[in-house]
Parts: sequence; structure tokens; C-alpha cells
Amino acid sequence: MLLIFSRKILEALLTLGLATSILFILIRLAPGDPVAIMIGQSSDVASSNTERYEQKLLELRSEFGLNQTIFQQYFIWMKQLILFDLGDSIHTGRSVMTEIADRLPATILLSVAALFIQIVLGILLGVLSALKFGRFFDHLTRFLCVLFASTPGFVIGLVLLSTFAVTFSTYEINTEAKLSRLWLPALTLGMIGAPQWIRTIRANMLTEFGQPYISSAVSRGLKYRRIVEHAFKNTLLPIVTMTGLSLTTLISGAVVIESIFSWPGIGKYALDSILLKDYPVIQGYALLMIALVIVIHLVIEIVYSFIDPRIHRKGEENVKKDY
Amino acid sequence: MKRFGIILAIFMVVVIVGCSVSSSKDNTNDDKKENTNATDDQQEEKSEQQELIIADQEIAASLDPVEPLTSSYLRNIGAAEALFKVNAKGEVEPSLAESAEEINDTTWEINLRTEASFWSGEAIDADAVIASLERSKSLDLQAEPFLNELSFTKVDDYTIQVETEHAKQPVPLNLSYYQTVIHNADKSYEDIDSMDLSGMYKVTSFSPAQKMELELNENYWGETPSIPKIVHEQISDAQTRALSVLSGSSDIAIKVPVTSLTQFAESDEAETISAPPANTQTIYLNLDQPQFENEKVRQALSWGLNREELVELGAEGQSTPVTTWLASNPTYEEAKNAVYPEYDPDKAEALLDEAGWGKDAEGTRSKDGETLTVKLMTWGDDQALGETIQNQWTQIGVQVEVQHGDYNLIQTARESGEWDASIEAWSTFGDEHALLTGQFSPDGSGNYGGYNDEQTNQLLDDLAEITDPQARRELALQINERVAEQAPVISLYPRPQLTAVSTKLNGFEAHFRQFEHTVHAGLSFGTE
Repeated sequence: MLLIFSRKILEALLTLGLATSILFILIRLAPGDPVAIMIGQSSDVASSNTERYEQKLLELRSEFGLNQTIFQQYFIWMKQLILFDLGDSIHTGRSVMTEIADRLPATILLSVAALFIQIVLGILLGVLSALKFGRFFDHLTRFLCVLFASTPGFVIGLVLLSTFAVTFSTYEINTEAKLSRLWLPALTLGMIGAPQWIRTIRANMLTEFGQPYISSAVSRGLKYRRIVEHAFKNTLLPIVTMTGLSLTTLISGAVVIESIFSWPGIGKYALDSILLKDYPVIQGYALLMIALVIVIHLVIEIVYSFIDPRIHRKGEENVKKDY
Repeated sequence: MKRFGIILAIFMVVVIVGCSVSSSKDNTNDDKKENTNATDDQQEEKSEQQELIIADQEIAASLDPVEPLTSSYLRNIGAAEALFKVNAKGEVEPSLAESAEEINDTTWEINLRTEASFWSGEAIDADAVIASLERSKSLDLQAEPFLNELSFTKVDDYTIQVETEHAKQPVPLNLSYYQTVIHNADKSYEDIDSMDLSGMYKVTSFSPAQKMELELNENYWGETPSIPKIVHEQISDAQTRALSVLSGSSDIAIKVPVTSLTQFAESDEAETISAPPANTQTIYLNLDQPQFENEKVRQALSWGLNREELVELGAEGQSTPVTTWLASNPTYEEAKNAVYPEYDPDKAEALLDEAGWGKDAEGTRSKDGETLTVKLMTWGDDQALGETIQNQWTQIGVQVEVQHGDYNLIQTARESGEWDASIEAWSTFGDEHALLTGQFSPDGSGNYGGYNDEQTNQLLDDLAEITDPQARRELALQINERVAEQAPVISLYPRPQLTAVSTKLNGFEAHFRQFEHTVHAGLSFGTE
């Protein structure tokens, strides 16, 4: 067991190192100079004296270490990381760690709420759709799944925002991350992600219904509810995977919805920083997201090994074989 | 299945609680929601509204007015003031200064208000004003065009003298820009407790990239506003800003999209106000590209644009066509149609023929085996504009490719020289010499295309020397027309600026520089 986890952690660190290195280089290859964006944006009058401007650009590039080679910059960043320092934002001058810490709770709150909605809708409609296979409810559910899966998230968000904020006056548009403002972005994200859940659970349930143990249970006269429960338990494994993957997608991919609902989360912060080419923030955000994906995947594997011991045993055998 | 039922019930409870909590907001917002069915009682409640909520694309990036993206926002929400201000007609008026007098061609004397003080209560005297302007000059790059050629000396406690490097520099105009806001240079701008400005409202809380709250400055020298509190919120999505005013969540939304006009037309809650801004949507041509070497080609491109249609399709009709660059300045309205007075595709085609770009059977123009092509780069909200231009130029035989993307792509293309044309809108309000030099002199930062015309350069030099206002104006118009005739750039229309305002707010003033003139003491809630 210890061997498996040691190997997993080693793999995770390697992935983290490689992914952040690639991102570090890619960010710098993208067009745009963060310093030029910072000092040039507020001007609405063209000037004829550009000498001081050029001088200021050089000064600031030097101040932020952008005049050094990519490798030197990477080395400095790595040194900072060892001290748990993500550097300071070029745009605001504030610590990236502080800015992320300020915003991450809002994103996690939104993601967890959205995940909850996705799971509830997915299980409820997925199971019911499988039970009513081929009937009107099944067709309707499948139609709605296609509709929501094919409609862009921002369209659903704006329609819901317009309906609840303008038509029914039951939603307040501001920039606060409070519970009274959570339900609508969470519902939007939930509706966007639910079709995938519904279809997977429906398909898994239908597969289970075709298994011999179900026929056997039916022939033994087991109650209908008990049969459904047995079938459902066997669909749990993919649900664990989907939960982890959905949470990752929600935390890292809620950018558009956070922007539309003006939810002060990390996605909106990252989006703004990408537009401003704020390297330290983009790097910090990317590092966090990659770490999050790795941790969630690790957790999934651990949960897997508990739910299905066969996976755990097979893993151990493989490790022994390697050594 | 019972468990699913329980989970569903919990979910429904969460949604219902969410809705109900959302509905039971503080009194201020309740007032706003109830406004949907306006009655006399509700009008009474609205008049008691305590805060003005402004939804903006961005809020101040910091608390220090010399930092980028800060002073314009602080000024816009009534926190900061400059010595002078520009009214909606484009006239310069005293603000924190009491008066200004031109002593001679290079000297001005500015009298300060003895009753004015900073938020802290410290006097805004000559020493404080000079220290503030010197701090802006040394730390704020954006203040350079306005302060660099000025030097300040104290005459007495409330009088300063300004010496200019050149004759007839417009000192009050220069000191009206947001980059010159007066702040207490002795204070730190690290936090809200130490910052010290002079506006009618002072900052009480600041969450970067989210929200800034302000309350009345009790030491304010001028008229006391009737609204006690201002909330400036950063709502980046333009459509959401529009919805925030339509829903009553905010009272003013700055820069709402032209695509939301229909929603406002059907609403009793809010209206849109569009003041023509002093900037010109301009196509900058890269004169290093061989197809633009010939002046006739550039002129043909300008004649071949139906600007009325561009305004209709590119700006939803929320602007007016201009054919010269300076024409969007409210004081130069006569330059609107000075050159290219009408859409004339026939003339455009004739000019292209004269330039040797012949049309083939398919309607495409080419010369020496080269097809006449333009790669037009657009960004922001200009995609529809770019596509309309593409359609119009295609009709005169020019093949156009529109590349819409991030502004950084345009900057990178300019740095590499691999670009044909791009669209941008610079401000046209200010000192004529500074504006025209910035755009059309060889070292102007807005001269992207590398325009370098000997006669224009000479005229720009002459403009710097002329002191008589009328002669100066005439020469500025002459330069403006000459540039339009040579067409290194093609002027289209002022970029629309649309502000959504709640119908219960009184006293909102449309301004051609709306982004820094939203809050003033005359704003109030309720029936007039």
C-alpha cells in the first residue's frame, strides 16, 4: 500500500513539475507585454515623447525580472515556490497568494453547490429515465439533455439572469459572494453539467438492468425498489470518477459563469489576469489548478481502492512486478 | 428512491431559501425592486434611497492616483478633483482652482480656493498643490503630456504661478485632465485610512477588482451632494451591467453594449444615454505595405466607405459619421465632413483604376499579378464594424480579410510590421498641437502606420509656434484636412459610449468624457 502511494506521489510531483514548466514557457511565448499593458492602458491621448515611456518600460521590466531569460525567470519562480510565495501581481502589486486565497473560497462554494445540483439532477433524472426507458419521460429527459449540453453556458446564464433578476426581481446583481446570490450561478452550472451525469447514469443503469443478477433477483420475487437499489449501487464507481472530474472542471472552468454573474471567484480573476498578461497570477492560478487536478485524481484512486478492493490488489501486484 | 426524494427536497429548500433570502435584501435594494410597479408611495421610498450604485467595467486599480487605471475612476465617482474641469460643451472651467489668469504667453497665475481642504482637513494651499503636481509628474507616466512642459512656483499661500516651455500652452486644459488630480503628497496611498484626496466623497472600503464604497466628505468645499453613499462595482460583463440597471440592482451602468438597446427601449426601469464621445474610430493603414504606397489607393478606400451604414451596423446607429480625425472633438464639429463629404464608390473605383489596380471579370483588383488585399485587424466590440468594412471594400474590388482577436495580437503585429490595417479610437479632445503631433508626426505614439509627410511636419512645427487662438485653430483644421486628404488613416465615427441610467435618478449629465464625469453634487433620487 505504502509503495503504491509513494509511487503515486512521485508521479504527481513529476506531473506538476512538467506541467508548470510547459505553462511557464507557453505564457511567455504568447503575444503581449504585461508591463506595456499595465502602463499603456489608461492613456487615451497619444503622445509624441516616447523616450520616457521606453525608459519606464525598461525600468518596470527590470523590476519584475522580465528582462531576464526564461530560464532565469523560471529558476527565480521555483525559488519563490519553495518558500510558498507565488510572487506579486504585476497589475495590482498585491501578493498572488493573498489574492488567490481571497477568491478561492467563493469558487469552491460555487463549485460544490453546482456539483451538488449536478449529482442530484443526474441521479434523479438518470435513474428515472432508465426506469421509464422508451417512454415519454425518457424521451423528454434525453431531449432536455441534448438541449442543455448543446447550448453555450453563457447563453443559459444570461437567460436565467434576465429571467430571475429582471423579470421576477428575485436575484440581486452585485459583486458579493453571499449565499443569497449563490443559487442562480450554481443552478446554471448545475444545468450545464447535469446532462453528462444523466446520460451516464441512465446508460449504466440500463446496462445493470441487463445483467443476470437482476434477472435472478426478479425471478426470486425481490421487491422492485430493492432491485433498483442493487443496480444503482453497481453504478457508483463511475459516479465517483465523475464527481472528481466534475469538481475539477467546475473549479477551473467556472470562468464564464463567474463573469456573467459577477461572482468574485478565482476564475474571473484568472480571466482578467490572462487579458492583462499578469504572469505571476497566471502562473499561480495554473499551479493551483494543476495541483488540484492531481490531488483530486489521487483521492479518486484512493476512494476507488476502498470501493472496489480488486483495483487496489491489482495495483499492488503491478508495483511488485515493477520492482 | 426515498433517499432521492429527500435529496430533491433539500435541493428545493436550498433554491427556495436562496430566492427568499435574495428577496429580503436591505432596504435600499428593496426600494429598487419595488420600483417595478411605481406608485406614489414607492416614489417616496425611492427619494429616501441612501446609496448610488454604479456598475462599471472596471473600478480603480489602486488607491494611489499616480498608479495606472486609478485617477480617472476616482474622479468619476466624486473622490478626486483636478484644478480645472471640462464641461459638456468642451469648455474649461475652474474646479479646485478658483480662477486662472494668463499673465503673458508663457505664464499663468492660478488662484486656489481658501475654503478647500483634503479629506483629512489639511488645507489645499499652494504648497500642497505643487507637491501633488510634482508627484504626478515624476511618478505617473500618463501625466507626462500635460505636466512635462510646465513648472510651478508659489506666489503666496493660495496662488501659484505656472511657467510653460512654449508660448500659449493651454495650462487650464492641461490641468483639467484626470492625470493631474490633486492629492495630498505627504500621505501614503497604501490603504484607505491614510489616503487623502479632495472630492465630495471619500473612500470607506475597497476590494480590488470588486467594489469601492464611498461616503460624504463633510469637509467638502463645494455643494453638498444629496446622496450620502456611492458604491462603485466592477461588473466586467457588459450584458450583466445592462441587466443590473434593468433589474434595479444598480442605478448607473457605464459602457453598456449597443446590443442591449432593445431591452432598454422596452423598460420603464432605466434608459440609455449616449453622448458623442471625443474620440474617432479610425482605420490605421500600414504605409510600409506596397499596396498603400500610392495615395490614390488610400483615398479610394476612404471614398469607398459608406459611413452611414458603418454607424448603423457597427454601432447600432449610436454615433454619427466623421470623415476627418479631429471632427469628433466637440469644438471642431465643422470638420465632420470636410473631406470625403459623401459615399462615392464610383470615385473610389476610378482612383483605383488610375493607380493601376485593374478589375478582372470576377470583380477583383490586381496589379502586376498581385491582388489588392487588406488584412484588417479588429478587437473589442469592432467585429461587426470590420465585417461591414470588408463588405463595402469588396464591392470596389478590394479583397479584405478581417482578423478579430485580442488587442495584444494587434500590438504584436505592429511590432513585427506584419499588418495592413487596424482599427483604434484615440481621444481627440485636448491641445491641438499635442493631439495632432501624437497622431501624425513621425515620432507620435499614435502614428502606427509610419506617416511622414514633410509638409504636414512643417505645419505641425508652425502650430507649436502660433499663439493667436483663431490662427491656431485654423492651422489645426488645415493639418486635419491635409492628413484626411492623404489618407494615412481613415476616420469613421466616434466610438459610441452608452450609459444606462435608472429612471428614478435625477440630474445625470451626458458628457463627451463620460468615464470621468458621472458623479456630481446635482444627482438625486425621486421625482423632480
